[in-house]
Amino acid sequence: MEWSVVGELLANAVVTGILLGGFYAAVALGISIAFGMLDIANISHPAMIVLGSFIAYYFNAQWGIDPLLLMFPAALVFALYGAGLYGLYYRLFESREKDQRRGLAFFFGLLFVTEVGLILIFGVDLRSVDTSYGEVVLSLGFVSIPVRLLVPFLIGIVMIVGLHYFLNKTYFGLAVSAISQDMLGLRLMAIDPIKIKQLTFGLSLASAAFAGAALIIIQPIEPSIGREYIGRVFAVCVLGGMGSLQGTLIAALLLGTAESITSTFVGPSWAPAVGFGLLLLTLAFKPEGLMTRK
Amino acid sequence: MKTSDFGFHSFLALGSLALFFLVQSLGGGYYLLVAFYVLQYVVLSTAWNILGGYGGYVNFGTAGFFAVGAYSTVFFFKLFGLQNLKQLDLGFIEISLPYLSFIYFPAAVFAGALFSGLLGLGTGYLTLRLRGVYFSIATLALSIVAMTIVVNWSYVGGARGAFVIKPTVVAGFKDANLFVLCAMILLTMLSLAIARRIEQSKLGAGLQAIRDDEDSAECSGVPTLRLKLQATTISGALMGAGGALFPFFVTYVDPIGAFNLAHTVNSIAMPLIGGMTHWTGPLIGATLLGLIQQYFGSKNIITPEMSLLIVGFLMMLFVAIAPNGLLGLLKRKHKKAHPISATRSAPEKPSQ
Amino acid sequence: MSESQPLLNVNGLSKRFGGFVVLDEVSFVVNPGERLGLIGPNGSGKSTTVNCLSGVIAHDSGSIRFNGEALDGLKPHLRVYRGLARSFQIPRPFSRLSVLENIRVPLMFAAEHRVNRSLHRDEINTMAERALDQVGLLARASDTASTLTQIDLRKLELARAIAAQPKLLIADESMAGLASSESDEILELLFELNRTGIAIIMIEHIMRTVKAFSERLVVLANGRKIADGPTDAILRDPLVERIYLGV
Repeated sequence: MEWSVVGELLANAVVTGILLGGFYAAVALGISIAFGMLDIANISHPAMIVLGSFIAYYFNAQWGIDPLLLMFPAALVFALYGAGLYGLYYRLFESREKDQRRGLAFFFGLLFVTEVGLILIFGVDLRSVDTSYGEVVLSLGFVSIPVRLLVPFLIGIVMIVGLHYFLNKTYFGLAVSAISQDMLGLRLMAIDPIKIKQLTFGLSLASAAFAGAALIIIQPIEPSIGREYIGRVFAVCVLGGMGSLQGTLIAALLLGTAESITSTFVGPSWAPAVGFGLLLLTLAFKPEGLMTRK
Repeated sequence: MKTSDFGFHSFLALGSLALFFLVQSLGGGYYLLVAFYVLQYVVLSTAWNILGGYGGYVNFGTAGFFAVGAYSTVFFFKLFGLQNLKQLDLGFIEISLPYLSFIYFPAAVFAGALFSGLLGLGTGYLTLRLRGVYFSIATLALSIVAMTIVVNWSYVGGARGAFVIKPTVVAGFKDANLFVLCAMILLTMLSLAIARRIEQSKLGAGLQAIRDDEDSAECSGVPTLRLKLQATTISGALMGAGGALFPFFVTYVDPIGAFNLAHTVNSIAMPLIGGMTHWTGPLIGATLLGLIQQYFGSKNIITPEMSLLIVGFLMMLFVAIAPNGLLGLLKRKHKKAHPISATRSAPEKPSQ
Repeated sequence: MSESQPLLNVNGLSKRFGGFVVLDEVSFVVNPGERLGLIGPNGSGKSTTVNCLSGVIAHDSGSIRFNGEALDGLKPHLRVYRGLARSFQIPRPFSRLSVLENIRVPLMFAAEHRVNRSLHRDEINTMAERALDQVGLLARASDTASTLTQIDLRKLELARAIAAQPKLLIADESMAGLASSESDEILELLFELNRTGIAIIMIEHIMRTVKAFSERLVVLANGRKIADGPTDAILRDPLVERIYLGV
């Protein structure tokens, strides 16, 4: 194989990987918020993203609405759902015992119910959206940048930046950052921690709406596709550190690049296993960063 | 609820014989399928409960462990060319066709148990030093990854699936299917016996302590990691053993069927509903839920997806409201009826 | 207090969490059978010290030697096998198990390491009952742990810690939240345990108790040891006074 060809392939793989990484950051953000800040292992999050994708699909197929537009009202609805879900979760689990396991099983049930519900409503066929930019590919020399990858990448970047701004510069955002550190302090400031937690969880779910729109722009979807993302999200959050925005972004970019390179040089059907493989390596050789106990 | 050894073994023996003759007299066929289905879930639920119920570590990857067992059978089936094997020449003894099954069924179960056991050990070793949540999430991702590997592995059929031939003639059995059922009955008995043995052993006692307060257990001298690894390995091995018999029953194995999420959800819901602290819990839950699923499925009242949906909801319901399952509800009723004696007795004594 | 090798030798213990230095070169010893008080204002590093000693967290640098052996890197349960026990600030019983089981279960694993031979089930039972008897909980042996009162929970906590016959017990705020008569009960209990030969490190805020119990005091402030010596002398040290009043 000629080196220039390999070089071109590599360059494209890396670029694709970076774009993909931005998208993965969008996907992982919700879990990073829920788990990193609220210590809630919401494993139904990938299914919520897929739900978001299907909603985008539905509105696109029926009324031709672009997912990029739909994701805003969808995010609001998801946020409200998230706030409500947290209220339920709190009453059922958090207030009773510090037992994460029941909450885990609960969210797994939710994951499962959501997926099967989607199968019942939409069937198992692949669905995709029709957008004006879906087929466009930009070229930078020998590197091609498909817009269907670029847009989700941008969504991811905007989400991370937006959240960073929110958490550090706004009143509610600072309260949210504080929630994971000092509940008593918050109470003394007459802020109801529960309300803040509801807001935070709502944010987490809202991010699923955005990630869902991004997902269906990138690829056609079917109900069980969320499962492929569980490993990826897990890898990103663990590698990047829970709750750390920069960490999530860097880990996501890393994962995207690793997957893309694997896809190009080994084969695309191996992509879902890359994240997990990365994770296994980390766990096997350097688990110290993850060894903090609660 | 402590059972004597004699009582327990009698229960197993009588129950198995009763089941076997019931199915045989009903003419096999559909009833055999129902029996196999329920027993398979008794094994999976019991296996899951060893780590999940006794130890409190939730495994979301039952389907993966099960499938590894199933595919190990497929692999060895192809490797040894078992579909063409008419007899086995071991040098000192020649085994003819009707007796071959007695060799390769236990071998398959052993192989399935071995691989899934190793998988359990490996997963455990990598994640059990972290918080419990990481273990659960890892098992969830594990199934997907295992499925990715199988799909890419053409030797065992990849996405197209593979065929495994059911034994055509087995000595002593009119219908070879009954032999497969018999194998599953034996495995079920073994699973229940193992679960009960663990409950009464140091491992079971230690797991209870881990479940109640792991850090406290560790700091008072319980070797938590070692026990968790033991539980994960045994649990995984049993799931693999259950999976190993699966190909002989369905004869066609594909990733969708082997990695079916129903295996995971049921293996969690059944102990949850039946009760997670005692070996009878998964048995009750699996029998109840399994029979209900088969009944509604047969009448075409609900599709398989609907049935799964219901199981999912049931799971959430029980987790939220009755986390100790039916056994727990029964105990609560007993406590209400006898409030004084209730505080004077411990809920579960590991052993005396 | 013997002239020979100390039971516990902590040397240069340091720990940081992120950028925050929690322990800074803390060194002290505990002699066999001694009663040591570990005191200091909130946030001075007492809990971290206890957690490092029992193995719950790994210290960054420094060494911990117990009975001549290095403990660095050993998991908590292995330290119990070597004779180092701790009780928790907030009692952490196995709530679903009976009082007796709370003692028996860890003992099933720890006991044979302490007596250096394998033990029969009945022997372990006896050891467990003896521990309960020492703290006065034998009558409640078959009660579920979750039904115990605060003081009984603390007694259970201590019973579990001493059941495996440790050489050193770290009693982490065993009296927090108790009425003064109950505190006295626990104090008396600790004295009794010490009389059986167990060295005890007491971490406590109640000065009266610490003064009555400890032969020696180690004072921490901001992660550093600022005083170490006989109880009376330390309590009169103006530096120590300033630390406690000036915070």
